[in-house]
Amino acid sequence: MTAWLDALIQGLLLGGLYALFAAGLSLIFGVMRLVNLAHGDLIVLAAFIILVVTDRFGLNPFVAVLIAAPILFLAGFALQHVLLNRTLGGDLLPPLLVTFGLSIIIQNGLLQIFSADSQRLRVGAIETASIPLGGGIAVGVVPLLTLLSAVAVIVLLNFIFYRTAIGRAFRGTSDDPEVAQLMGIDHQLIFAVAMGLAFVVITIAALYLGLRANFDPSIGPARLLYAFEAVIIGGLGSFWGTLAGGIVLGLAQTIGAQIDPEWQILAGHLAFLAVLAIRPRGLFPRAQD
Amino acid sequence: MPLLETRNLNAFYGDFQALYGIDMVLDQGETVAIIGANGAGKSTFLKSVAGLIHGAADSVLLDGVPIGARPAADIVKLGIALVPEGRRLFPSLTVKENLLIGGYGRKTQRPKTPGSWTLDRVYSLFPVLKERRSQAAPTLSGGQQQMAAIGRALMSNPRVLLCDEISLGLAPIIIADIYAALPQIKAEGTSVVLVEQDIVQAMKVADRVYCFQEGRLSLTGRPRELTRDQIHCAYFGS
Repeated sequence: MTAWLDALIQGLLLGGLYALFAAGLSLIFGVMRLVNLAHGDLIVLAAFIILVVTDRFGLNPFVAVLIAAPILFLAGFALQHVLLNRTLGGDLLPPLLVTFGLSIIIQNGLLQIFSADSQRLRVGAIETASIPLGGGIAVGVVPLLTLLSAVAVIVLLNFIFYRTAIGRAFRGTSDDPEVAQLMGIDHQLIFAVAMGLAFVVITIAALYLGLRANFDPSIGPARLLYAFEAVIIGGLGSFWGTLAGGIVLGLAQTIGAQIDPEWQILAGHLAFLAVLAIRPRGLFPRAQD
Repeated sequence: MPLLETRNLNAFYGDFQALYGIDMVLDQGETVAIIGANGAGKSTFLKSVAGLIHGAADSVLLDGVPIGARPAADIVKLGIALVPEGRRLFPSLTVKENLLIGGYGRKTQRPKTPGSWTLDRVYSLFPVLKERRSQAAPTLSGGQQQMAAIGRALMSNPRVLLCDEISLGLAPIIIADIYAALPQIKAEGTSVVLVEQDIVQAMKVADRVYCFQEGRLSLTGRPRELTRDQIHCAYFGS
């Protein structure tokens, strides 16, 4: 019984990590209807950037994130403004092809620079610290921080989207880019800001990716898959749905692992397929879509 | 100098030419109506002025300054707002958010800015919008959506308000409500260009009328000076 309860708690916490992977993807899809196939690789890239900042300046990764986030915001802004904006507005295929190409470039670029060795972000004792909950169950501090950060990111994104002028511009541009221009909104600029914001979320996701496990240049596509599944499970266009989707995925994986360790990944995919079969629009779809 | 002017304005959709050499003048405080049959190029004309379709830079002038090559997002900041055909409110935004987004580009007050529209002033112009402010835009009736679309355009504090078919598909009593707001809008110093299929309505409110036929200007004049036959001819072709 304790083992099962523990599995549920660990699944909830793992869900926080998947929600962080998924939040940036959800944001990008929500604003620009862009499916970013390089999303997982961008998370890995951001993890390497945090690693470099950590090593170069001898900083704690939590501090390094504060330096990496603005750099990645600018990188995201530039990527959208210079490259991805040119792929939008017509056929669905060009953005898919370009982001797929980007994924290959990032993977091989990282391999070239950092080799295939596994890396890890080090934060000292906090890595292994845990809080005992009694009854033989304990939660790790880093997994707990991951979930709390995911909730904070979702709250912040909801605030930006539903309480600010730029958030209205995001949603309006997503609804109707042509009429958005009539409101004085430069939709290309808005898309670039949205991508910059997504890159900040990617940086936060990368921090916890690097704190919780080893990473190397090849693991991006699997992170994309988890992020994608979390977004679909939650329902397109809803940030709270994305958080729920991440948690459903995390729970499914730990429950699967509890039954048989080999079933962990498979159980997550099965949960995804089950949601698709029962609620094709996800658990919390946006009303208009 | 006229407030807004088009000189030899041509517009194209790919290879297809939709407008041929349109000359139009709108003076400060005027209301101009553009009438014509379906496909005459009326909406294309408004889109060209609003910057959604681009012709030659010097084919659209505001205060004598060429603006024909400026993007739509700049045009609204210069003081020209378009109420698009079919309302086109943002469906995932509430009524209030639709109005607020209309003021998005209004960072600083321009000189010569007529009146300053606020949420409250739009609500007092169209009280029903205040009641419905928290509802999603698609839940409004057609007439309420039209009011919200006009209010959204006003929130940019336009010097020129371009209205595309604001009475289309609405009941006569609703149309009367919407047209009743026009004097208040004009009292702010806003000049108006109306595209209207309802000729009687257009003649009632316009200082001058332009009739389009197959992309060309077929008739222009003051409503009182035009005869029924002239309009019939210009509208349908002789």
